Amino acid sequence: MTAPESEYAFHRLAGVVAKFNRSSEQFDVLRTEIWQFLNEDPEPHFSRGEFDADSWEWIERFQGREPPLRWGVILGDCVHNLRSALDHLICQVTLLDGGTMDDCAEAQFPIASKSEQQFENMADRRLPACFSDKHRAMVKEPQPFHDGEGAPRHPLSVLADLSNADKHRVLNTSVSFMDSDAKEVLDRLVASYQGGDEPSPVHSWWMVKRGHHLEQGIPWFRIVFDRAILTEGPVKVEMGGNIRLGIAFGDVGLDSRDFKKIGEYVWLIIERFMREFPETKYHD
Amino acid sequence: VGKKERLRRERKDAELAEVEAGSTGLPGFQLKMDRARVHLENLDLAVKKWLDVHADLVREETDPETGDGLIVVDPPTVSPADIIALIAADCIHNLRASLDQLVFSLSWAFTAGPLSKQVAEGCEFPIFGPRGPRKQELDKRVGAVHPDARRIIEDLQPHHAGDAFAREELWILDQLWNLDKHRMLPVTVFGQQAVQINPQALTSSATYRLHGPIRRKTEIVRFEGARPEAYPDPKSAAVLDIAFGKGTPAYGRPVTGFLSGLADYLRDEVIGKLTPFLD
Repeated sequence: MTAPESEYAFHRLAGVVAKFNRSSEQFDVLRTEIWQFLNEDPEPHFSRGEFDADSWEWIERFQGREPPLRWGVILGDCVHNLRSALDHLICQVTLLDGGTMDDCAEAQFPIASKSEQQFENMADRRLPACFSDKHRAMVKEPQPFHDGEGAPRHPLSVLADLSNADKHRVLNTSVSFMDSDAKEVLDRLVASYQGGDEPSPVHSWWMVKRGHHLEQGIPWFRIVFDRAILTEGPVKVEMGGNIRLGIAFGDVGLDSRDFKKIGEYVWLIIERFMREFPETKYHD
Repeated sequence: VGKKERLRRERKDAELAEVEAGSTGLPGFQLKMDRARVHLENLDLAVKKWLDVHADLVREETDPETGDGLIVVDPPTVSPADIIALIAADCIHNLRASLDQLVFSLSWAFTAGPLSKQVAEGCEFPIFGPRGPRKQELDKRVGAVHPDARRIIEDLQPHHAGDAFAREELWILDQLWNLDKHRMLPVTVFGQQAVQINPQALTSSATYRLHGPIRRKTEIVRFEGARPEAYPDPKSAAVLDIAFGKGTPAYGRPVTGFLSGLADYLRDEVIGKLTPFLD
């Protein structure tokens, strides 16, 4: 999403909105590149199968190109701008609450995923003394720690993780992951069995779960045959349909489609604070 | 070795391999530098476009009192667009982050096995201006890099310039980054970078303004009497640009030129000297 800049051009948070929009635009670039990669002709990935006479199973292995490292760099710009939008917000609220630019020097939007106490400690350090109780509470309300065990997957936690890794350590590299639902695929396979009353030569099927990272050569599908029924291994097994892939980023494994949710969450925070500022219409 | 132990070892090996594959970050700093160059190209285009659109701000007029020919520049009705500051900010971010990622890669290269979490999270390219770093401050940031690389990083520190530390490239980069990250977009202003003079075309004396921001109608050249006809196009007299504004550590410096110089400095004086320690 992109906020209409013309609406905020004269607002005190115009810089915050500009940073937010910059992040959205960069993410659109990234999303387009990912779409092009996944929909290339020929496809960037395929499957190669072979029969394993030891385990009496047919194994399909993933073959494909690695997603480009450049995506990690673009994502770095996205998260940098989104994280900065939150910090700029704190600086503007500091000025609103009677502080100065000097008060902003150490100011930062705290992101606490562990506990309320962690938030209080961070807020004491990162929110200037002039910050009003009301505004401190507004920073506390959207914090990840409220989610308990789910806190590491909270949009702000993910944003902080991606941003810190990119700033100081490594690019948030991208990986391909299985985006097809294993249960759905296997149920379909079972239902499509056309052997009539004949017993199926298939002992069992196995497929990686949705979300599983797919690397070059990794087995993603196995058909285990019944040695008693299928006494000779098949030379070929036709696999119908396509492997549906997704792209994930960083150690946190952020599904590229979920970056939008992080943006929307950050925008909600910005919007709430926007109402705190007196309306300014210098252009009237 | 029992099966259980073998499985435990295999799992451990697999975990280490995963950490190694995901954490070397060796090309990261280079990709960040490349990205900064892409932003620089876009910045150059955005600045040129802005100046092109505002070319009519430079014009000729005659001083009604003295009859002197003047070349003046009017201030723009609105400040340079946010997009210029936003692209500049992205460039700054990538330049600065490339330094931290370089330290991570140097640490990785010099350390046997995967980096511990503590070391990995402490990696940072130190930049100390007003005072020198304490030993423990350096240990935390560059404690895992080759001792010779650490020495080079120490020698690059802005505090060695004494009171002039604030004019050092690394210090300015760090301050610009902090400004953009936490406080505000780096403000940009419309300004005159230089004046182009062709003395041979002058038939009388003339006074010039050399450089500075354009906040109000500003005289760039004043000819004594009418402008000489042989004098070249007045628009070429004023070399205009977009510069960093007040409140930024690079006040008055042309945005594109300064950041481009900074990128060259990092390539030649920092990364170039430290990459031998990545082998």
